[in-house]
Amino acid sequence: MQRPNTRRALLLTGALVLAAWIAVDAARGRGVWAAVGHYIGDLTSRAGPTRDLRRMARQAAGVRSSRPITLRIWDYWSPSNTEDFARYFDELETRFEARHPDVDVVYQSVPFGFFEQKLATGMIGKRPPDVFQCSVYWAQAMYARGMLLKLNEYIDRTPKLQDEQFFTAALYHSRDHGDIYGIPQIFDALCLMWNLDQIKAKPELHGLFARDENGEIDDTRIRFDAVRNWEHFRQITRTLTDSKAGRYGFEINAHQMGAWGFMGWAVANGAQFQDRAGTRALFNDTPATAEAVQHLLDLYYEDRVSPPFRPVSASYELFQKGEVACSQGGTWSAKHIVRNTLGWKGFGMTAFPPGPRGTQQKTQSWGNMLVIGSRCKHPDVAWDYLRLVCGPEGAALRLTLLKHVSPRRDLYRSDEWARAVREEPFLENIPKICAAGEPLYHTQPAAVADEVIPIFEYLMLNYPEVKAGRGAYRDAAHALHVAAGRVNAVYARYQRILADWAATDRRREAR
Amino acid sequence: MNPPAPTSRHRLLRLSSVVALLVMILGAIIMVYPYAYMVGSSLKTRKEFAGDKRSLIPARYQISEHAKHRRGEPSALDWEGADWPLLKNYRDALLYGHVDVFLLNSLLYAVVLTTVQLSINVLAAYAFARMNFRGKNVLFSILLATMMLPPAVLLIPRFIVIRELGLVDSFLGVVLPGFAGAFGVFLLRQFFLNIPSTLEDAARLDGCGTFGVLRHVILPLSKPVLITLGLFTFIAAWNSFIWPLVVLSDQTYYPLTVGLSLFREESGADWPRIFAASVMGSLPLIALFLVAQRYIIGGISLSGLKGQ
Amino acid sequence: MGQRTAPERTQPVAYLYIAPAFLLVIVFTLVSMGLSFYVSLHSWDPIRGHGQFVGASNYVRALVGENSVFWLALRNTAMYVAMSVVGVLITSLPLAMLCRKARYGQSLFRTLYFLPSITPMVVLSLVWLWLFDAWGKPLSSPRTALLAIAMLGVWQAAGYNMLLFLAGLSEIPQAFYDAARVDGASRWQEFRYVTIPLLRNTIIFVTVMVVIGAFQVFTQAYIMTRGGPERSTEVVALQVFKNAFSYAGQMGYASAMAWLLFAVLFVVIMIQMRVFRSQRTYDE
Repeated sequence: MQRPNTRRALLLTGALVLAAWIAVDAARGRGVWAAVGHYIGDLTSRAGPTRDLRRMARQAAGVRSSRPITLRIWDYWSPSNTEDFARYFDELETRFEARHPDVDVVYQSVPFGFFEQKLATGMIGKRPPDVFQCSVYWAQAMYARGMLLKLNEYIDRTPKLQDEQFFTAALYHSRDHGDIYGIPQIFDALCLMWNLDQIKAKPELHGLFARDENGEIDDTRIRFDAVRNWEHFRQITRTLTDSKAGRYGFEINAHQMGAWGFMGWAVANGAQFQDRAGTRALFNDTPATAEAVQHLLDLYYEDRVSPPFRPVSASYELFQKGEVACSQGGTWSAKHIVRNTLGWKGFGMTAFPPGPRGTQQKTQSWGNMLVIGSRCKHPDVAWDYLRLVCGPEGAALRLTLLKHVSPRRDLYRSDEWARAVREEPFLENIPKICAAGEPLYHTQPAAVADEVIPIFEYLMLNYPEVKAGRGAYRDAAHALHVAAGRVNAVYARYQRILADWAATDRRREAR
Repeated sequence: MNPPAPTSRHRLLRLSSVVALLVMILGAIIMVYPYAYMVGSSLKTRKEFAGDKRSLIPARYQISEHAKHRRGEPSALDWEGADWPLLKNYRDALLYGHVDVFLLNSLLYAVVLTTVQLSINVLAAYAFARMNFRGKNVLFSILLATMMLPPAVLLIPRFIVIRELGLVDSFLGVVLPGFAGAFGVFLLRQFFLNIPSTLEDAARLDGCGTFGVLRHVILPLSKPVLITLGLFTFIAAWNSFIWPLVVLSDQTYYPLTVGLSLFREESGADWPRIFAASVMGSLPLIALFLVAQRYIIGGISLSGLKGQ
Repeated sequence: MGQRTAPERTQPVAYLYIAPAFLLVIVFTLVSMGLSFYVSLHSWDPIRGHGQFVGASNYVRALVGENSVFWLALRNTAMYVAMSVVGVLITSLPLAMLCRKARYGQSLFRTLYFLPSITPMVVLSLVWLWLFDAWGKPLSSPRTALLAIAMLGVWQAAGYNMLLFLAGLSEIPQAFYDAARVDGASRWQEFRYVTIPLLRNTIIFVTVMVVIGAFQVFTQAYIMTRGGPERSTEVVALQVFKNAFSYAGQMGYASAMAWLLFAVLFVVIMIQMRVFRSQRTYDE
């Protein structure tokens, strides 16, 4: 028959032409098909399954790898959104690989909310991380579960990472019963962020500003101790509130906050969340925490300085838009705000003012740390990486590239710090805020948050009912009492598990 | 042709089918609107998305904004990113978000799962349908019983099994539990039973062995059901989320579903870029569906009727 | 059947044919169930890979423990299931009937309505997260959040279930409708006495499938709400996931919850089967 033959002939010619075109491009190394080939080669080296196939093929062909040691680094700082982080990690990788020609640094960014689960899976999987940034939230439990390497011996022979060189508050979470399992690389604290432009617009609030050498008001900086106490705070935020114009003094969040929402204030009132070992909740031992929660309720329902509650879909959104003058945030958020507002630096940070039972400006602070995974095959190489990142070189790098505040004392004596503060005045208070910090709660925080978040949400959202006597709780103190009971149950369960594991380990060693 | 029905009833009938058509169109809009929203949002810049969450068209393309700009008033065209090319979020998702890696992984998982599942299901179904052996009925009932087990219950134990096999966080760890599926065996066996044995006898007379019968007689006749089953397996594999979420930690192995949840978790999530990745993740299946509609829709109707 | 002319002979090679599928299924379902039960009697941590035997205390904790989230999660899941079943029946069945009535564009409608069913739920959750935020914000109120994610589930499966109902409807012979019309039945009576009884099998099938799927809902809760606000969307599958993979040493507890979920699901399906089967025999 005529038609099938001609169709087949056409297909054949078409295929031949295509093949010739591809061959020509391949020979020249340029052109559409060469680009496609490059792309496919690149893609298959980036995608896990195909990368494995290529590696197996190379090994079968007997090709040796130029960098036989792989160092896997995990972090929850994410380069995909911020070019700064990309530059930082690239710089670290370049410097380290230059000093260690046989090491291939492989970096993976894992979001904070995923980290614990992914780490647990990764530790029992094929490619466990060697070094990773560990939040103070997880460190204690991870060490108990056997996921972290004990670092005492390494520290003993490293003069630049001794305890005296760090702020004490930053070291709190990286050790347990004398075992050190992490080195802090950043110093963070809860803080109050202030919109200095809005304060400038109210002459009666100019006393909050810092003064320069001549005693003149410097409206780019707010004094660390600007807010004297809670009553003063209420006055300030009332002055800054003009709900008809859509501007509010202080943003209060109810959703997904839990202890994060009130512990900054409670600590400034003399309270603590937990004991160090995680056996007991302490926040209900004195009325201090209840007073802090009541303070927030009064600010919202009586003084009405806050915009209506909204589920937090984007952090600092209202603060960046200028709709609130003060917002609770973290000392690390400075660079996010600058980036999201395309360069606005007219804000400052302070700690929480002292409450009726408190004596000074306080907050909760912590030092997230770098740790070595227990399944690391090259701990010496991993330790070299830690030395680079947590030593003075890494601290300076993080300051210049990321505007991060370091837990190392020597950073604040350096020229880089002086220059950074000149360019960005909001940095000035941050070390004082962090050093004034009480330790952040850190035992089983996910389970604890699951217990406290619904209670705090309910209390904040339904306070009118509670006040009228129709709510599930009598008052804030009662709600905290219930929360403390639940948190203690979490701790008790955790301690039981630890005891079980200790018993099992002892039995195994005895055998 | 029927004799003309009474006019009033005829008019009522036509009116009711018009109403039905209108309701269906309304429903279709509700079905399709989220897709339009997804595509529209994927073309916006971050500022445009934060500024107006409801609009379908990015602000920099809206006529009203252009009018404002021409009048010299501040408009969306002054915002950062107003000069972005149309598909910038797609390009960024591929370059910085590694969406191409996720798509490739989804494809690899789906293809491997489908081919292996089809192969082993065909073998097993053929044996159950055409061969006789001791314990055949008992074994088949056991197989059938396992279809009752919901996957949520099997999540933890499968993880433990994979851990014992040392396959956590690996390609094989993701696909191995997926190979186990009794539904395919059940469906194929039904189909094979309906193939008349005269064809098989004829083939055997020609000298075909057992496997030969499978290859030359059964398989060619089973093309439709194989395609349908293959399509369903492919779609389910592409959409699978919980298992790869649980068993993977190395992001270079993530399929697209897990990759999207990764983007969502990131602080400072770039939502227009996430939408661009979502569009790229949905397109392959939609394209597949449009091409193979007949088989997919036919398969559903078939499974619905047979399942009763 | 019964068309064979060759003698029935045992073929031991058959075991080889069924081996791969059978072994995989056994390992990943039955053996897994056994393993899951074993784990539920221990306090298990996936990192350490072994645990202390605790007997039934995981089950006790789930069922009668002081702050047990299990009952709350089960209640949320049950409400979700109820909302899904009702939602599917009042949308997909009328849609199928309307689709037939509309007469034009049936295949186009089938395609458009089916789109959500083949899109990954992750994608749909992300899009609806913002659609909900733009319209009404149901996800921020504990009273409406569960309903919102249930409606998302119904919306996704609308097309799929509509196809099932269409197939069922096309099985009903026109003769029945003609007979009813001759007897002077109104449209509503046609629906009640012809359509519903003859559609019974499809309705049962759809209901059972919806129930089984809805009991295991996870993706919407994980992506959109993570169990909030105020635990209103905390479903059992989410609790199992959190306990097994995030919290230290709670994998045994999570296994116990998974087994309890399975028990509840089993009982519900048995009840459904019994109810529908008895009705059928009664009719006949």
